[in-house]
Amino acid sequence: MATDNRMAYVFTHPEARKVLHLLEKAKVGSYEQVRTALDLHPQEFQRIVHRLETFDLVWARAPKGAKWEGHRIKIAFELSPKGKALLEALHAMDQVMLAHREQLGPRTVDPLVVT
Amino acid sequence: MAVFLLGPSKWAQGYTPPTLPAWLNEHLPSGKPVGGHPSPLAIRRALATLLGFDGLKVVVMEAHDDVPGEPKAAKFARLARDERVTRFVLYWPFGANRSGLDVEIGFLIERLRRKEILGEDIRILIEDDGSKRRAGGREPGEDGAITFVSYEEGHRTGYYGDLVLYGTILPTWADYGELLELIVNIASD
Repeated sequence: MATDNRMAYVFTHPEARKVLHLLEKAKVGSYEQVRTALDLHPQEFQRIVHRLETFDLVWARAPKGAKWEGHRIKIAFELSPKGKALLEALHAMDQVMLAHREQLGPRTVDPLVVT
Repeated sequence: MAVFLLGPSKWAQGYTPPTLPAWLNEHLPSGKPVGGHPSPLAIRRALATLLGFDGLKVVVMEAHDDVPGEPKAAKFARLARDERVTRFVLYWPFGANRSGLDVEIGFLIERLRRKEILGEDIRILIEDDGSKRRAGGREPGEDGAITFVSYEEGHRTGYYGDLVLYGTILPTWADYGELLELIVNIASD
């Protein structure tokens, strides 16, 4: 059940997939990184990433060498192994969709397109 | 594969926890809760029962009988081994008394230090409802860096900070529905 929910969420939320693609390239440790790469407001990013964390697709943790500064410590978001596996599954689905595009007919909106 | 569900057993003095949702309430262990509110231990046991219905194996140490003369740390190690625990989940609600957690956290740190487990094998599930019940949360740092902030001064255990330094995963949850979903997703591969 958990796998189905994860897949359905990412499949129906293109912005979630964009976040996963960003994390596939590198860990994200600053909101500026998110704004530059995805043009997402920090609060929107937090909302999406929170959902992805609940699905165990994204992890937040202190990077190696991080230090507590009082009650605060730097963290970074990263793609979890489940997140990586889900992206691979979506890539495979993309290939199938492309192969059957003609039979499936024209679409006005393509949920699989990642900009 | 099993998940070890660790966490506090009591609420801090004077703290009134939120009312539990009915779906969780009905799985609480029998008996009248002390102070009128289910304890964090009762909540952990209810979560374990509920997750068990989904075929997920969740170990709550206090739910297992003690072996006479066995130290707490030895019981912890025995359960982790016998139940084939692969993930350790630390339930971290706002307003709890965590003074009794040092043994469990110390045990995890020792296993991390010996590289018997990795940081990602441990999750600290931190309550953050965004307003009144915030055990910890994310905030932008001065340089725009994403930071984790521990909000409960004086409620931490001595080793909690070390656990974070070993690269444990720090997800947050806003309500018990989200907490349950989080544990299900951690426990299922």
